[in-house]
Amino acid sequence: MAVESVSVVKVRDVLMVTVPSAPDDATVSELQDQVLHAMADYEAKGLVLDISAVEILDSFFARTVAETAQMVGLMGGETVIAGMRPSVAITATQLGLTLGKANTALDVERALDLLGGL
Amino acid sequence: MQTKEQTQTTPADEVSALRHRLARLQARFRRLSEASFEAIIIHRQARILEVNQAAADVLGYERSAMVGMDGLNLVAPASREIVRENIAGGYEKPYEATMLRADGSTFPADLRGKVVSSGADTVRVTAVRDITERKQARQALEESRRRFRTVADFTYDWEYWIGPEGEFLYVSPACQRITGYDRQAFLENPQLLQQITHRDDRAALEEHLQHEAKRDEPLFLEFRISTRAGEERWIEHACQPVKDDEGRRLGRRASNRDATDRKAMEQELRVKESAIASSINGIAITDLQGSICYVNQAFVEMWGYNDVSEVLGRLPPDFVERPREVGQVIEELLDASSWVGELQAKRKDGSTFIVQLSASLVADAGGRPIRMMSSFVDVTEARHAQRQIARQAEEILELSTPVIELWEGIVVVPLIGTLDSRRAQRLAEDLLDAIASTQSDLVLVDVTGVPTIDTQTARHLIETITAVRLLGADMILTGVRPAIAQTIVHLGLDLSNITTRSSLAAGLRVALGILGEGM
Amino acid sequence: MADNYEGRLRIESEGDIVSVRRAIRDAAREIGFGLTDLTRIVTAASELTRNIYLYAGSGDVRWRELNSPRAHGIELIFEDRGPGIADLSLALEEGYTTSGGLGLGLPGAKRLMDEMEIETEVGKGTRVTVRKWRR
Repeated sequence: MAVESVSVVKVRDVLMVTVPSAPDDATVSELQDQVLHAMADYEAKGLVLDISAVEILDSFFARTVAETAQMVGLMGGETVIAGMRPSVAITATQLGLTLGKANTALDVERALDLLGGL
Repeated sequence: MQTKEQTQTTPADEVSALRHRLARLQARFRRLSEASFEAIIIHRQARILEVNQAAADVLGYERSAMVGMDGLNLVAPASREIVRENIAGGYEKPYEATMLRADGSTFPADLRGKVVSSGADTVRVTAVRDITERKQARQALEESRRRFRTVADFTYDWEYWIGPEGEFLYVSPACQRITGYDRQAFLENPQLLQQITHRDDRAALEEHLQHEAKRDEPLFLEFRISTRAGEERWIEHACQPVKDDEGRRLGRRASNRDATDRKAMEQELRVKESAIASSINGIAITDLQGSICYVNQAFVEMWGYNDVSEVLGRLPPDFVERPREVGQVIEELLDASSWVGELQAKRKDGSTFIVQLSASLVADAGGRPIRMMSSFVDVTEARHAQRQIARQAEEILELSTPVIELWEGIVVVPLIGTLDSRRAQRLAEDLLDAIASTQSDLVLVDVTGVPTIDTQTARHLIETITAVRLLGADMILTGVRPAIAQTIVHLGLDLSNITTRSSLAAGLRVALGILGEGM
Repeated sequence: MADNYEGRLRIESEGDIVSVRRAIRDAAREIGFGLTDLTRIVTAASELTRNIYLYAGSGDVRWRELNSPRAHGIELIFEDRGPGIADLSLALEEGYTTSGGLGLGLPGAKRLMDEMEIETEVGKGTRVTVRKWRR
């Protein structure tokens, strides 16, 4: 069981998380944990989740992301999912996955722009 | 009367001398007759004068009791007439009659009488022989002969026995069924067999018949005959010599079978063999273990070999690119009795080609599979042509889903023609790839050129919009025709959050407006 | 039919889901599936494997290449000795998705694949077979 480390960085006044390519459930849960702690620590305005490296997005991941977005929302922030791969988008759509309250952006730059304007 | 001597012989002396002589002769006769094993009865017109002991024994009387008896009483009533006749007629040839014993029992007998006369006196000497045993033996022989005739007469094949002189000694009735001529015709005409033989085979038959007369071992011959009705039939002939217990030649026995049907089948097989051999399709036959037991020339050439010997005995996996596929084909073949499909074949030099294969199971008369047979056609060229066409279709598909980057941030996809499920999926992939690579925020999908779509395609279209959104871009649907609008509405899809416009131009205006806002 | 499975993995923990994903991605890529189909296959496998873990605790995943002269594809079998599915028709209903954390995601997996067969018996277990063909 590979534990791929997740790091949360603060960029301007938003949180940024770069998700590794094939995260297992433990890593995804860890991600949620770290985000929530960071939100509290830094009083960030929002969260950018960079999933440009992610190849497989299953229901657990989607659920966790949706939950995270909801929690971030409760803490006063916005969430943007950035850089979803086309193949992931098609599969996720067919599977019927939704990302809840989260917004989407083509890449991290646009995500930051989006959050900056909010 | 001359008297030489002065011996005075009176007539009375002469009579006495004669009587002595007769007595001596009688005694001598009696002695002779006693020595005889045959029963002898001396009688005058059936009145018994003398009998010997053998006669008394065979008839069960005391000797003395028989003298003076009416001989006819010794004959069974059924035979009395013939005996009386023969006695009266002086019949001297042997004949059969049934005799009657003292105890009332009867037995068959051979009678032979001889008339003996001396002067005016005539007596008959009759010998009686009990032929019970001989009669039984004769009946047994008759019985076994009858049984033999039954076996021979009822054999299916036509049996005959030719004697040493070339004459037919026996002909079984089956000759009628086989030749149309009855046995009488053969018995009367020993040359009949040669006469009904086909002109071309006659010489061979003549030679055979000449040969068989001299040879001891079994001989065989096949020849054609013309039946009485004019039909041509094939005869399978087998013969061997007949010898008696002492080894003397009693002629030759032959068995003739109608081989017309078998010959016809042989001919059929030869025709089929020739058809297979000369077929331009490659043909291979294997046993149930897969070992190749026959290939035609076309197969040899198709696979780049020089001779069938290079192929026979080998297993099919040697001749294909992916050996595992052979196992699957054989499994399905054994299950369904036939298999049609394509395989990639491998030649002797290792090069490959695509072969279309039609395989079937060959069963014996009882329905059990005994062979697998396959017919091959090289379809490499045809497949290449097909692949070309498919590739071109793909290209056409690609062309018909052009993704145009109008200017920075906007991608337009004008769709033309029918939008089927497959094309819609292709569209989604291409679109999303284009969005990611051009980093466009907006995509316009114009369906003016699409008359109708089915529900599945409509679903795909909606899914595409969702996927585009997941990427972070947005999609505008323009040129929605009434028919498509209907389908979407009937699907119950919520289009409230999808921007649609009736024309591409209108859509572009919206797009520019959105972009303008962002700047 | 011959049991010529090329791959097999035991599911016993959460971490095994990633192993399954990796193995099936490699297998599907080798068979020659394109990126999008690859993603579909692996995602479906991930969902179905997760089902085994969530509802039965443990189970097996088997997969093999479907290589007949006529078509080319992959077959995956997910098997467990769990509680079984009580109402199969309900579980296969559209809209019964995994996004809310409810249901088994079977309709979704079915959408991603070309063929799906389910054998299940309450108290005995479940076997889900899915196949995808290369176009």
